[in-house]
Amino acid sequence: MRDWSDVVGTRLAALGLDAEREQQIRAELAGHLEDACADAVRRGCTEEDAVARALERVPDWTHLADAIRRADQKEGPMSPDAKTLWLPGMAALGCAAAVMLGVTRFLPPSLWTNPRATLPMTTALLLAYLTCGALGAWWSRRAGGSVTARLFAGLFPVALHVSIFVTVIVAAMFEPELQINFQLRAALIFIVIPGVALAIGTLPFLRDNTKTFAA
Amino acid sequence: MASLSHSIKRGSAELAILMVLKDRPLHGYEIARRIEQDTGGVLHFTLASLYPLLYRMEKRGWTRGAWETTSGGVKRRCYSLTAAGSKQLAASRREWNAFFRALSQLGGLSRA
Repeated sequence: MRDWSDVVGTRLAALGLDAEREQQIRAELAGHLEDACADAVRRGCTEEDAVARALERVPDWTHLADAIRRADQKEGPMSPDAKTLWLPGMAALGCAAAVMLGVTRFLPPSLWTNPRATLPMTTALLLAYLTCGALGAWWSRRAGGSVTARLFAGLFPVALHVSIFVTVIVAAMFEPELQINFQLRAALIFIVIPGVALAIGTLPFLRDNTKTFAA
Repeated sequence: MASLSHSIKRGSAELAILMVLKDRPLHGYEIARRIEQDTGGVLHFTLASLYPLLYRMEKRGWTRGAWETTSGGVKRRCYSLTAAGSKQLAASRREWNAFFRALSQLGGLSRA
């Protein structure tokens, strides 16, 4: 009986992975060849023929090592959640933070109290948030994210608003003039409205893209 | 055209693996044999085409690999479909159906 671990050990080049992973891969490949050989024997092949048939499954050992190495490297060290949720979500969050920073830093404060500027500014902000939501969902879909992952990636900037809201509420606890109505209005303005804009932005990317298949 | 050919080959192999894992967990050799048998040898895997794909699919969270002792008393790494894999299978099926429908609309192709 051939020692398939030995066959794989001598023919397969070093994969450059951590020792435990590399050992597991070698054991798995050896098991595959052993099963292929045993199967061929069961079907009536001689031991010699069975070994030859099993080895036909690896026409090029260098190519096999390269392909396994690439499979490990291509995906990188990131987990599927990191690629489909955290990274797209952080991108959307960063984009929204940049919008907020730009608005508060570069627009004159008088614009906020100017009734004429309210509508165009609100529209521009909501459009920017639609784009942020779309960015998160698009990125997540591109990375193979599920519909839930795409939605949450697009909604990530809400975290920024929740943190601002919590800060305001904590500050309001020390301001007796502030009423519960103010808090509810603040929640609506700072969380619900941007959240809805972000969610709408994700909508086009919640469907599976059949065009990418043939692209 | 080369990238299309590559994506079709890879996409079809992924779909085939997801489909055979739908029923029960299988190890690498069983996966390859099941696909070869069920497709009359049309789809054939070498180790270089099967294992890199299995590792990628596992990394994406579509399958989960675990060492198990088979009825023959040997240890094999068996792959099972995860919830994400089931969703991916459904999505891939839709994509392939749409793809075949699109091609059949051009004429000259029919589905078995």
